[in-house]
Amino acid sequence: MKLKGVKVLSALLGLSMLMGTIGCSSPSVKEEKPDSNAQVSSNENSTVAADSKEEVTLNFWHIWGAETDASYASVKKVIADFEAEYPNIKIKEDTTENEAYKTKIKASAAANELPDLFSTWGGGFSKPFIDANRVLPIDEYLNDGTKDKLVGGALSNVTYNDKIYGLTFGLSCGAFFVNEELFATNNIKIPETYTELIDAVKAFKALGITPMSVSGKDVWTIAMYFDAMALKAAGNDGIVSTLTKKGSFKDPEFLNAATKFAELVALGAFPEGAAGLSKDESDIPFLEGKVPMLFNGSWTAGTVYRDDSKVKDKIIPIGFPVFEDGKGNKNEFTGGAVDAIMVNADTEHKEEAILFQKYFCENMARETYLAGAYLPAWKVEVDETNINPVTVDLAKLTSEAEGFTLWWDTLLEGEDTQVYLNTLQELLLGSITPEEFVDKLQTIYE
Amino acid sequence: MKTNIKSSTTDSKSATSFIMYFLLFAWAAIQIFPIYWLVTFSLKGNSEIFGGNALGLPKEWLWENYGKALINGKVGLYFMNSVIVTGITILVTVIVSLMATYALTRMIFRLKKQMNVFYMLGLTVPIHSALLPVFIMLRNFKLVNSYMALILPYVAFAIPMAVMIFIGFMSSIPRELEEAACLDGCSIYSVFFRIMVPLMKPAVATVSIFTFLQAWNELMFAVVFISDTKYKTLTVGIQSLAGQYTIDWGAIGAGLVVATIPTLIVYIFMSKKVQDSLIAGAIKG
Amino acid sequence: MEKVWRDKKAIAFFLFPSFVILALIIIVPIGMSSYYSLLDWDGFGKGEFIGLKNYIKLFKDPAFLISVKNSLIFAFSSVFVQLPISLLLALVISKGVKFERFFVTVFFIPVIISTVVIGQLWMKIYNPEYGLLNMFLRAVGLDNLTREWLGSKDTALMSSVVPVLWQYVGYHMLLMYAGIKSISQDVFEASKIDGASWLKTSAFITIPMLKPILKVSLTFAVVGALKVFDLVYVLTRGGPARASEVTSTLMVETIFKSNRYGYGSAMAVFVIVECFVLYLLIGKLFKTDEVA
Repeated sequence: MKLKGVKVLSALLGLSMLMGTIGCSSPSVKEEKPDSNAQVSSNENSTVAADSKEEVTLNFWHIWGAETDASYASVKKVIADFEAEYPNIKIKEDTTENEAYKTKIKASAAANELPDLFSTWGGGFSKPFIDANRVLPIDEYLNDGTKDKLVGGALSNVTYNDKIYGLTFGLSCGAFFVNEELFATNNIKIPETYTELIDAVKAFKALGITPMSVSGKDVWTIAMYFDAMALKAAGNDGIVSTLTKKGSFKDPEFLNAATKFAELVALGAFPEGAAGLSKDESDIPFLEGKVPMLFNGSWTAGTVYRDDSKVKDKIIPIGFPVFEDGKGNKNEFTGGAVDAIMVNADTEHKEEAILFQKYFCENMARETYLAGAYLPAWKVEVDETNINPVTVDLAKLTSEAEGFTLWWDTLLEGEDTQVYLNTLQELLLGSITPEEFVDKLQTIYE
Repeated sequence: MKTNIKSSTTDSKSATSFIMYFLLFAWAAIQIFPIYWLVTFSLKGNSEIFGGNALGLPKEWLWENYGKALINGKVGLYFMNSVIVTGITILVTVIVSLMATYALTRMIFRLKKQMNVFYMLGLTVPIHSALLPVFIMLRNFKLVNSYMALILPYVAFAIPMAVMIFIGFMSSIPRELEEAACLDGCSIYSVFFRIMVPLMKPAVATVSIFTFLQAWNELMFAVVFISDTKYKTLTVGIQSLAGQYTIDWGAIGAGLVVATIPTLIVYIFMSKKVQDSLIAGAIKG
Repeated sequence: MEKVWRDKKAIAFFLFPSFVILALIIIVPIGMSSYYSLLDWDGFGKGEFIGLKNYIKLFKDPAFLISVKNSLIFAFSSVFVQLPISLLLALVISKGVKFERFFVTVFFIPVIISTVVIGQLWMKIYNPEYGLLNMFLRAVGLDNLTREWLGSKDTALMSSVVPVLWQYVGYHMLLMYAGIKSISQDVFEASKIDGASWLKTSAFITIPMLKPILKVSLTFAVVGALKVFDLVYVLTRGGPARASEVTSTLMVETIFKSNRYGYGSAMAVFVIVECFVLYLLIGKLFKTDEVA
């Protein structure tokens, strides 16, 4: 017993001494700006030379690793096709759950441990990576006709300081998913204007039916509603100029949107205790056909059309009802091409990485549309007969779109996003007035 | 000895004892409920979990949730990784902490107080703020993407806990035995290994349980420090069953059942060691 | 013996491995966090040195002050509600009840179940519509006591305290149980010969002898409560409107969502100092007790 113990101990001692010596030679506190030596040696993918004849392995991190995801099969197919077409390039995937991925990608960007390619989000989320020179600008690689294959606005959320830093493949937009059957059986008109929306809310309430689903705990779901309402009140230009700090939240349009939102809350449009419900909990009554309306992203089409769905053929997507006194119109939508693929600025295999980036996005645009996960951000020709009809309806609905206004929590940078979401939660709770709401939003300008 | 205690409690005060057992079993029912809940949860679909049938037995028994968890969550591979990482973490933590505790309670040296404080300091660190600094340290040692990337931080975060518990136990062990052994000419090392270590069994069992729980369930470090499927752990695998917009909670529940069984076994095994120490104590006394 | 216990080589041998691991993985990162806390830094680019400004801002930040208050409520209720229950359970089951092993096993179960699952379970209990709690209140005719437990500013904090305390009762119970088990049996035999009741034995023999372990338990309870994160995050995310915000949830939001790494690090340093001060206080408490 003694002998065994001592052996283990001496092994441990050897180990800790080794660490001790390495520890001494490494600078400790000022490590937040790692020098280039450190990352060249630590990027394990970089052992293979960049010669295109030789085998190259590209590390690619993304978030579509769960089979329940509508994009899961698309990713698998596109990567397999790519490897078949370019046998010398291997794609080594690493997938992480959505929320955890955000932590992982931020920590890896901070420690300069990013892979060759990674999925990320356009707008405010990726801006710090670009500011810290972690992402490769790809303008010069897009003049081979790539730009012409993209739909308008596909690059606007990955463009920073007039340079393009990533490619997108799919569009998502906010839409009101309404249960046609519930409206029809109760003889209620599907609303096209705000007044009609209020009428519908009152009519459902009178029948004891909760009109809309929202999760106050997963705050972004409230923002889905409010972003759309602010858009109907202020119009695209009003939103963009205000969020980019060239206007003011104190404009009457924002107060109008906040007042109307508070009106919906006061009417009991949202479920009892909504502020304490997670999205999983709040979605269920809608998916079971008990709640007639849900305003959320276009990906909801995939959820309502799952095999086990109880509302499969009853749901149609509509735009948020227009405000009679608003500046927005019915052809303005929230959303945009947000999910993006970016290339590490320090990748050892620049050419191959960009080759894959383009291939992946172009093909994902088609595959994910076929799968009902996104609307395509590339010009694709597909046979629409087998696509989820809700997705096709969405495509028709948005075909007249004048443009997409990015979601606030995507457009704004981290800190401002938190101010917005926290304040919005209070408006849902009714603990602040619409006036206080716009005052608090205005602190974003400070 | 045990029967003595029992008979003295049962004869006179049967009413009190009835109430006591009633309360114990009532509390046991509450404590056992989460297991029942987890198992039924793992056999349901989302609409039952989040709908009206949240607490009852499944209306439809979805055994396929287990298939999904085992295959999609790569539970087989990740399970082994968790066993390796957790096993080594416990072993190293127990050994180095016992050694440190011996020095901190028995040995005499200057700066002993400061040393105690040094070990305690680890207990205060919020793990989330340590993520980036630890990541940078591991990167500098070129340990990212290896078992060591997890073992090292898990051990480091377990040591303060282990040392505190060991101090609590060791300080109540009388010194006579060690002094006697010393007079017999034992070296300090054999005093430690032959006399102290066996006396610390209940503490070792307790620390092993707590270290197991920490390492087995840890998620954030495991997500960030490992990007290679080869080294991923079970909790990460289970988490990866959650999609971007749709989460299949039943399959996650099934994965968690699989992950919880070893925990339960380790606990039952180790807590038996804690209880057995009663006999060891009697012999030693 | 004195001489043996002064053996410098042996001291170094015993301390060295754990000391090195701690220094590298805990102490150096504390130093790094302290340095970050003096920066205006988003975690990625260049940070700007701003001295103690983050700390000054911290004490004027209402969200932070609420979170500190809430964390202290967690610590307070842990000490005065959770630990007494754990102690009582440990004392009762260690005195030789029937089914001792069964109870030791079952009472620990909530600790080993994943926090995600425990969180989902309590969400079902608290659900305003079909939750167990409101259903029970309605069934016994106390309709006016039903609440939107996790969704209301008035009840969210206490509704997250209860599950956190409950989940870890078994943890402290095990610690105390193991402590009691390692007290020499002779002591109990002697007190039984004296005819002392279980209550008296517990109060005058078991608990005083258990003091070193009680100190450990108390320290873990306080430090654990001040750093509580997982279950609160699952249950309420710190909401609604910061009603159940604790320092860890706010720190995570500040660092990982708001990208204010410097400011979040100041919160981390505050937590370290706060835990440390309370640790010293606990030490004082037990020392004066020993003298008396």
